[in-house]
Formats: sequence, structure tokens, C-alpha cells
Amino acid sequence: MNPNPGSKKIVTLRTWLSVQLVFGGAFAASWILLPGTQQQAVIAHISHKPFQLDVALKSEKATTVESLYDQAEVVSDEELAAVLKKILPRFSRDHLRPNLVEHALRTWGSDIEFANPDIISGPQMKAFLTDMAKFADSWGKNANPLMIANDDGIHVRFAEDRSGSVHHDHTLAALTEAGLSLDDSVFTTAREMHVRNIVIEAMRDFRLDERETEWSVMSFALWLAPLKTATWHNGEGRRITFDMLAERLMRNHKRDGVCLGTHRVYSLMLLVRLNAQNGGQLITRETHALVMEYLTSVRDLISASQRPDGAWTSNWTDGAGSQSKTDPGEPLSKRVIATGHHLEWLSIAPVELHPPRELILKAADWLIANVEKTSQDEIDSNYTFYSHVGKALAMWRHTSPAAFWTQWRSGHPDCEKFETSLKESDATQPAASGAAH
Amino acid sequence: MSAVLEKPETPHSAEPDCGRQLPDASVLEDRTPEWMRTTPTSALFMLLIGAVFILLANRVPLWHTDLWDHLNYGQNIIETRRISDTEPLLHLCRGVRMINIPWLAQVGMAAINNRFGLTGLQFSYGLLIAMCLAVIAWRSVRTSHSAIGGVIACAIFLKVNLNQLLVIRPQLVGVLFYCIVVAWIFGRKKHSKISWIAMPLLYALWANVHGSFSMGLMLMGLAGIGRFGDVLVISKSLRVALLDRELHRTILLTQLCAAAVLLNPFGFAIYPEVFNVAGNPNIGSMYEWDALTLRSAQGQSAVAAALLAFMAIKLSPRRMHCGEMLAFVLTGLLAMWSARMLNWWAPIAGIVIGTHLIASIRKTTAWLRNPLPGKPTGLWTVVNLGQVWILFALTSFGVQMIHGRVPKAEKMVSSETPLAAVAFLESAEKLPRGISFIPAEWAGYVMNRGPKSVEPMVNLHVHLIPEQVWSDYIRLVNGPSNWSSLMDEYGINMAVVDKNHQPELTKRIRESADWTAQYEDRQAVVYVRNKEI
Repeated sequence: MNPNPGSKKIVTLRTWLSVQLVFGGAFAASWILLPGTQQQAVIAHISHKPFQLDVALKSEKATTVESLYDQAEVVSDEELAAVLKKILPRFSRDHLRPNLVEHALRTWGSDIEFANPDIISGPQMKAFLTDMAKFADSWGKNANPLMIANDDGIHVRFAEDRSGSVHHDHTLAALTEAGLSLDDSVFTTAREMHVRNIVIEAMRDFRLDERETEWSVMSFALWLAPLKTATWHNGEGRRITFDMLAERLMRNHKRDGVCLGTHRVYSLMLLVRLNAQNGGQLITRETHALVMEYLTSVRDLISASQRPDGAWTSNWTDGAGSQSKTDPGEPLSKRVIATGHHLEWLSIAPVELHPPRELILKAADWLIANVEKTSQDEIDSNYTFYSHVGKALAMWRHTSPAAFWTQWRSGHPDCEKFETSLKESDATQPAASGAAH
Repeated sequence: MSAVLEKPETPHSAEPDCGRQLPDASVLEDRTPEWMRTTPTSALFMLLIGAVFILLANRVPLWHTDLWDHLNYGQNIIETRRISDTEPLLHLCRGVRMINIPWLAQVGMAAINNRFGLTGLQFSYGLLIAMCLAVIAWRSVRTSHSAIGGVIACAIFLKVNLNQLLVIRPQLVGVLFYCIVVAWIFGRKKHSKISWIAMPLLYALWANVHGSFSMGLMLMGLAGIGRFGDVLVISKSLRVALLDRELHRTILLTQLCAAAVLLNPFGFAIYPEVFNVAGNPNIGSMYEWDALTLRSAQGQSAVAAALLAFMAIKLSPRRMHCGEMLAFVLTGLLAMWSARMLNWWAPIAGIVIGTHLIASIRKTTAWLRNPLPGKPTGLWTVVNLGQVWILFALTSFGVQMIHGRVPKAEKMVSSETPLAAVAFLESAEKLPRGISFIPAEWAGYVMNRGPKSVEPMVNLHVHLIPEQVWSDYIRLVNGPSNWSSLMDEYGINMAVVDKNHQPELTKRIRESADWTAQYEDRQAVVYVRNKEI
């Protein structure tokens, strides 16, 4: 041990400074040379925060995918009006479930006003989902809010309790399809934010291997397609592409997935359409080919599995063998789900992906007849399923429920009148619906 | 006149004169250059370490686990000529950020495998451990002035760390570099000219072969803190301690080494990545990262070594420097936290025990008191070179190089390597498409030796596997009641199941009418879904 600071071999100031220069310069240069995404990753890691979203959301409104058909043979005006009347959003305002409002909002849009005060208007639905004061009016001040603000994003509570949304990104998908803009306000309990913040958080907290990706894919595609953006990094810093999303949707068994596996078919069809609308920049040719192959196989399965009455059963993925394998005790609502959802994606699908035309006509007829003979209470109990029926049939007339209804009621002023008014006791009926949807 | 007759000259005999003395070789001048001369002690260690080397290079099989993953990543870099910034091999990991710190080691392993085959890997494995032992022995002998001290240090290192040394992985190079830094910290001349050049170069290389460079930097930091503490205690002056030149030099050298680490393809990102791997939630399911426990053999060895160390330190007249103590304690605590950290405690424990045990025994043992240093001579160099040649020739690699005889693969790999199952996959005319369930331990081998179309769900680079995927894989391994829906979730059409380690899953798939066993042997079953997803 030689604690001798006075030695001639003491480290000179020049040496100290030289080494500090090398040390600091090396770290500075290394940081500068790091690609932007790597810098983001390092910052995220050190600060224990999610990776910042590397997409600039510019388009004020999401793009839309129009129906390709206007076929009165599928559904006439009168039939459509009758169906839509039964799915008017007449919900009790007390303990109103977000899942119901989301389905009603995507079906009716955020602008429609109804003459009957029992029916929740578009702006009311929008306010319920985006203004936590309104949400608290329904659920009480002690309830957890639906939207929770963080630094620069809004997390939508889901799969927790009845006051939350049911599926991941379902709220976002509903707001997107309803035509809200990125700059529309969202009033959280903390501060005013915007729809943009919901999109940012959704893109950040998305995980490719989570169970339900259908609504995330749909929302991301509708917002990013106009930007010609096909890739971004999620909060973990993982690069996500629409190719990966498409493959994820096709990965598991066709019977898996929400609503008997039909939502993923809709999302895939939407991807193909958006890709075509945006110059093929969303997915690669290889992925496009795989998706088309997948959709073709779905077409073949539903061509072979339709029941003689026109309905599709929950085991439509069994194809020709489905009828013999169908559970005889299967609730009718399952057939409403399968048939309504299939008709919905077929309305945006090109003809080559359609089953024979008579099958589409039979399916529509079955749905119309089913809605007609099903009581309003029953439909209210299964509102989420039936909302797809209304939306699907409207799309087959190349319109939306809101546009059609607005026009229809001008000639039928009493169309929003009901024999019975909405009672508080009805509140539980819709709330019990759509548990698996 | 007298005449003296000279003795007649005896005729030259064809036979050598046995009675005549040979010239005294000891008076011959040793013309071997100074730097080439070695000591008898070195020959002893060459023999001992050589024996360990032969054992490792010939007897320890190539482990069936992550060795193959490293080979696959290395081969990918060789083939693509780029280091991917996302996981390049597993379908379920596409887009996952990958800071592949050991890329150079992986490339080296793949290159050795491509050029020399498995014997080359085995040889490299034995050589790396032998070099670790050589460094530990060298430092211990120098510090304790006793060859026995060196032998003890090596024995402790091997015994405590043997479990961690069983697998050929880039970490072995890291352990070697770490041993060099440990030797540096225990040395007296820490700041020779060669240190200022060699240490930064070592770190620049280290940062490209393994993340353990961080442990090296930590040691250097502890050396600085220790030096400060030592001077403060002796001088009792903060000023003196702060102005100590060795402290300054240690700080500057550590800074240079930390800067040298940046010479890697990922630059600064390598630093947070070191903690990223250790903190990854998937790591929690890896038993080798578990806390050290007394129930394990390595835990028992570690406790025995720790007790021996405390006893030796207590009895030893040598003073233990503060930096050495800090390194010993901190790395020991790390090893308690995770058994894998034994790698970083074992070299320190070996040198501490070797040095202090000899010092404590020397007090009472006369023949240890004045050790006569062996004189370095060229003769011992010749002996050492001869040993090197013999050792080389005795290895499988040596036999392959000299005689061209390549041992069969099945004799070189561990018994748990799924050789026959992979041979079946190779011979199969058509395999189901999509992701396959394959045990993570086998995935690397299957990808390396099996058909390219097989895409395992996971491999053993668990920190790269998405959390959900890994969690589902772990559930599948245990054969849960919902195994079928999990298989559906990933579109798995083929399952290669380890019968011995996954009996429940084997049983459940066997009972299913949706799957058929297409191949079965003593260790594996290959199930294929009857109707592909």
C-alpha cells in the first residue's frame, strides 16, 4: 500500500481531462449514432415508461370501407326499416353498459338524433363513452371511470367488470367506425384529452399475442391506412406490421375468436379492402395472397355449412359436417350471431368471396324473419348480436342504419313510437346481454 | 640416457567409452530467449490443467440446450451478413427487438462448427475452461507464492462452478475475460503500460461476445472503491484518500474500459440491455436463474467454499484489501440471488481461498515457509510444448486433425439430444405447416439439424419470447386440461413431446382423437394433428 499523492507519477490534470474527453465523447458519439428507435428504446428502458409511439397521426378522421352492394332482393326498404326499428337503442340510462353503447354507436353513428327521448341519440352515446362525468351519472361517482388518463394516452378499461368495455379496443373500434375525429374531446376524470390519445395508447399497449386482436386490427387499419403507414413500434418496442396482424388473425383455428370466429373474418376483409384503397401499401403481396386463401376457405366452409332454413350455426367451421355436429340445444342467438356477422363481412367482400347468391338471400331472409318473430324484449336482451344484423342488412343496401333511418322516418313520422315506454325495470334486460360478445 | 617411452595410443574403439562422463549439461548456457523460458511450476499446471482439459474436451458432451440456439443465430449472421435488430429465427418473435450482444461469439461458434464440426466446438469448450484455470492458477501462485495455492484455487473454482460450465455458450468467453479482470484486481501492479492498452481492448472484445462485461466493470469499480477505503483507513485522511494516484488511475482505466465497450454494433444500447435480460419476466421460469439453494449440489459446494474462505481469511496473516473483500461479498450475494451468478463468485472464491489458506498453513508448516521458486528455463518450455502437443493429440479434435477420424455425432452430444426424432423429421416426406410445439431445450437442435420448414414455438432465448407466448408455452409443457385450445390458439399442427419431462402432455395428446403419433422412441413422440388448422 502506498498512499502517496505527492509522487511524481501523480495523474496530471491533462491526463484527467483527456480521459474525460474520450469517455464523454465516446458516449455522446455512441448516442448520436444510435438509430431513433433504439434511442427511444433506451429512454423507455431507463425511464421505465413505454416506448413512445413512432407514428404521427395526421388524418383527422379515420377512413371508411363502403359496402359494395345495393340489393333490394337481399333486404327491401320495409324489411330493413322493420329490423332497424327493433334495434333502436332504447336503453335505461342507469348502469348503462359500455358494451351496449359501443354496439349502438357503431351501428347508428354519433350524429343521429331520435324523436323519441327513450332512444339514446348519437351525441348522447358519444358523450357517455367520452365524458366521464356523463359516465359517472350512469354508474355513480364511486365507479371506476371507463377512460383512464396517463401521461399522454388514455387507457380504456376492459374485461374487468360490468362498467368496463368487454373487449380490448372495442371502444376504440366503435368510436372509429362512428366517425369521431382524432381531435374530438375525451373528458377523463383528470383532464380533457382527445380521441388521439386513445389511439396512441391502443397502439402502444397492443400485444400481438393477446387473445382478442380483431378490434385492434380494425381500428389501426382504419386510422393508419390513409397515412400509408404499415409499421410502428408498440410500447414494448416491438415492431408491428399489418402483415403480422393479418397472420395473427389467421393463426389459430377458425372456430376461435370472438363471435364464433366471425370478427376476424371481417377484420381480414377490411384489411384487404383498405389495402386496395391505398395502393397496396398496407400488406405485402404474399400476405394478401394468404388472406385471400383464408377468406376463400371461409367462403367454402359457409357454402357447405348453411342450414336449409338459411341460418349458419355456431359450428360453421365444420363445413359440410356442421349439421350433423350441431348441438341440438344450441340457443337461437348463436345462429343470429353467426348469420348476422357473416352477412356483414360479405357486404364488403368482392363477389369471388361470396358463397352462391341463393345462400346470401336465404341467410338474409332467415335473419329478417327471425327479427320479425322475436319479441322486443328478447332482442333487447341480445342487443349486441342483433345490432350486427341491422348493420349488415343496411350495408347490403349500400347505406348505414342512420342514413336509412333518417330518410325512412321522414316518410314514416311515427316509426319511433313504441307501444310500451322504456321502464326502469328494463334496465337489467340489455345489461344481461352480450356476455360473450 | 634414459628414454621414456610414451604410452602407446590405444586404438579408437568403435564402442563408446561407457566409463567416460558426459559433459555437464548444467553448465551449458540456456540460449532460449528469456521470454520463452518457463518454470517447473508451469509444467506442473500444464499437466494438471491439461488433464482437466482432456476430460472436458473429450468426455463432456455437447449439451442439447442453448448451444444450438447460439449456433443458429451465428449461422444466420454468417448467411445474411448482417446482425438483425429484431429476432430473426422464430416466427412468434417477429419484430421483437434484439440486442444480440454475443453476436461475435455466435459467429465464431458457427464458423468453428462449419469448418471443423462438433469436435472443434468441444475443443474450444475445453480450451476456454483450461484458460480460465490457467489465469486463476497464475494469479494464485503469484499471490500465494505456492503452487499448492494455485491448485487449491483451481479446484475451488471448478467444484463451485462446474454446473455453470457444463454448457458451451458465449458466457464461457465472458468467464475467461472475467477471470483476467479478477487476476488484475488481485494483482499489485494494476496500472502497468500493458494494462492501459490491453484492458480497453479486452473490453471492446468482451462487449461483442457476452454481456458479462458489466461484471468486469463492476469489479473495476469495486477496486477503485476498495482502494479509496484502504487509503482512508490507513491515512485517516479524506484528502489523502481522494488524492491517491492509484485511485485516480483505477477510475481513469475503468472509464476507458467503459468507453471501449461502446465499440459494438449496438453502441450505447448494450448497457441497458444487460439489465433488460436479467429483469425479463420470462427469466423467472428458468431454473438456472433461480436463487442458490442448499438443496442443490452447487449450493452445497458454494457454502462449503464460503466457510473455507471465512476460516482461511480469519487464520491468515495476510491482509485482505478492501476491494477484494467487496468483490468477494458482493458477487457472493449475487450468487445467492441467482445461481447463475456463481460464475462471477467462483474465480474470486478460488483465489481468496487458495491465497489465504496457504498463508494460514504456512505459519505452522515449515516446508511451506520458504518456497524455492523454480528457475525458468528453456528445458521446461520444451516440456510444456511437448505436453501441449500430447494434449492436443489426445483430443477428439486432435485425432480428427491428425488422422482424419471424425467421431460420430451421437457420441459427442448429450444423451437428451433428440437425435432420432430429428432424423425422423428429416426423413418425413411432408410435415404439417405452421408453428410446432417443440420443447424449448430441443428447439435449437431441431432448427439446426432438422428440416427448415419446422418452426418451433419458442427457443431458449427466453428474454426474446413475447411474455404471452412464453407463458402459454410453460402451461403447455405441464399438459393442462385446456392444452388443446392452447394448441389451437397458435395453430399448432405438430407436437414433438419429451416423454420423460412432459408425461402429462404426452398422455393427453395420446388420448385425443384429433392427433396421431407418427413417431415414437424412448424419449420423444411426434404427434401430428389429423386435420390441419
